[in-house]
Amino acid sequence: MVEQAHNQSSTKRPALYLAEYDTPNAIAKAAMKVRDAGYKKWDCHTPYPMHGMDEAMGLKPTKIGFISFFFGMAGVATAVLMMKYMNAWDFNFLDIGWGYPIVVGGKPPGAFPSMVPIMFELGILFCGFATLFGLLGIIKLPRHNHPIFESERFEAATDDKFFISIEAGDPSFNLDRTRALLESTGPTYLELIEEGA
Amino acid sequence: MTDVKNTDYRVGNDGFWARAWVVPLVLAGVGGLMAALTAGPERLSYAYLFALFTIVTVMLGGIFLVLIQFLTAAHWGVSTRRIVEVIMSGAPVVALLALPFIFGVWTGKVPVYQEWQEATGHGAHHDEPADEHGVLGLAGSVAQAQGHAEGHEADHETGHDEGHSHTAQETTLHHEIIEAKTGYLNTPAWTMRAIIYLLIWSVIAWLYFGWSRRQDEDHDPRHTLRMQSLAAPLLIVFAGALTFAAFDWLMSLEPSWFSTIFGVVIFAGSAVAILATTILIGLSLYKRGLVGEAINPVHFHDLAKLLFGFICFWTYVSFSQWMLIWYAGIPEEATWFHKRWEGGWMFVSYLLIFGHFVAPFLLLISRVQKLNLRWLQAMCFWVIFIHAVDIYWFVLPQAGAFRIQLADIGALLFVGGVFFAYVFWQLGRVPLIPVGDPRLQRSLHHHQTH
Repeated sequence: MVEQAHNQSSTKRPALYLAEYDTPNAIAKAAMKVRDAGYKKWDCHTPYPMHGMDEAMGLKPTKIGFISFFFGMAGVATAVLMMKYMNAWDFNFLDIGWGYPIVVGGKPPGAFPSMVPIMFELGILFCGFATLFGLLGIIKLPRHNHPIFESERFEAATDDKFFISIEAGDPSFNLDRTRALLESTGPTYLELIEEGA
Repeated sequence: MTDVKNTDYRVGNDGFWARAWVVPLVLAGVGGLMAALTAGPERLSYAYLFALFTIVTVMLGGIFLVLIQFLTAAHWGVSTRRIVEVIMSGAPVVALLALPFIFGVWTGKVPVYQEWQEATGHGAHHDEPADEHGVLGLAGSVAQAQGHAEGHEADHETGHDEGHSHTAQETTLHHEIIEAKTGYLNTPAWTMRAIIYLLIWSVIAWLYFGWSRRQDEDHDPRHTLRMQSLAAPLLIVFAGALTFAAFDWLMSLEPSWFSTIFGVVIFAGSAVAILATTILIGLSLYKRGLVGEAINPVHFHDLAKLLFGFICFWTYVSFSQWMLIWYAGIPEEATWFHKRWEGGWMFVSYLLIFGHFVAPFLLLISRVQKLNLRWLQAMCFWVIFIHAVDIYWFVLPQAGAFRIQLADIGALLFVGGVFFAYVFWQLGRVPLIPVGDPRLQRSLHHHQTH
């Protein structure tokens, strides 16, 4: 079952190991083994979201919530400063022009309640952008290519097969020991993927 | 937590929950005495309306949460649904508790809706040719009703009808607005509608609790299908009843005032109240090992997320209602908020802003906070307290300056005590999770923690 697909040549260097499994159970058990072996730069690829995979992989809770919250609050603060500058304060900000107090509807300049909708909108806007781009940053997208796509079998990851990949950039990565670890998890197929020099 | 003895998910004959109903019942007795002995009929009416509507919102939240789960065919909440169903099934108890109040309004013994009830009575005279004295007399009585919070203003308006024709004109106009509403706001129509609302809620609660209980025995998925297909039309009926009950019972305390979003504000409060109550009861059952792992931290986390969402929703609609009125600044509309600002009420208004939004927003926003069950429990107690303050803020400013009286607390203890005595008693009689529900297995294995 276990075979090596590519010839090792001197111009190529190892990029990652790809192990294929037939069942969700098998990949969950394998993931726990890889997690316990202390790997950091590795991932699981399944055709559908699997509950409990985060635990099997030992993933830490995401930081995206903090990013969203921080930028949401920054949006609220931006709204307050902007409205105060445009409607209430009488000074020249960065030489872009004088803000001046405006009375609208008989309310005092820069009345707090009239700012709330803008505070809400900018809070949501900043939060939304921070969530999207923060997420893209965390998952390192967009990128042009990934060596994992060198494998033809990997296409089944969107169909009916389950994959674990361990990248060569991982500090614990070792051609022999990593292969031995993955073999011990009983994959139906194991492949060393290399990328060109 | 997994006790073999308790795999039938029942409270059993021993332990706290077997006799939990005694606690609220005793509180109800104490509260009833407190209220009855310390207040006159007027204050007691306001206090009772506050207490009644606080409990009504909890029960309505229950109906909503059950119906919406069937509407969406949700599996996440099946194991916590029984707690909600039991609270919902208290609708007939609420109806019983409401009867004395409705009877009092009908017979005129409950003086909280006098402003429009009297307008109905004088309607016939008003069509006659202008009777300067009569109109001014009426205007005076309206102004008096309007000005409890500021006694001197009422004197001011009734005292000088000559030199203040402008004021008199305004109050006459004000009176005409109420007069124009008497086709809807009159005692027989109000009474009939109140009975219809209570019937609608009681029938929905009775049907859904009954079917769910029957499913416990026969495990027949057809019950679920029937409840799903009825959920959509019944939600429409429920929403209508809730909105108009809010108009009739709370908004008509100030009959010249109107806000189309008022029902939504009450609905948002109801959702907040039921979620906090469900989490609290669920936590207590969970900690005592009565539900095994059928209800676990993941379910509490889900409920807490919804609670957080509805707290924000309450803020959104409450603020929207207030800001439009503030921005327009029309006296007729501003009166209602003016009453909630003067006479010591400003403090309560600020308490709602910070206690019903800012604090829960910051203290429940993080996943870590929601998954800390002790923290969540403390927050739920706070949220229920602040929800009661919210309803208090709707009702009691109509009775005058801010002064908490024993009767207010007593009435809440009485109505809440009777209601929860029923709820706790019923919890002891039924399985604590809907054991016959076809989606229960999925709910039990629902362990996605995000």
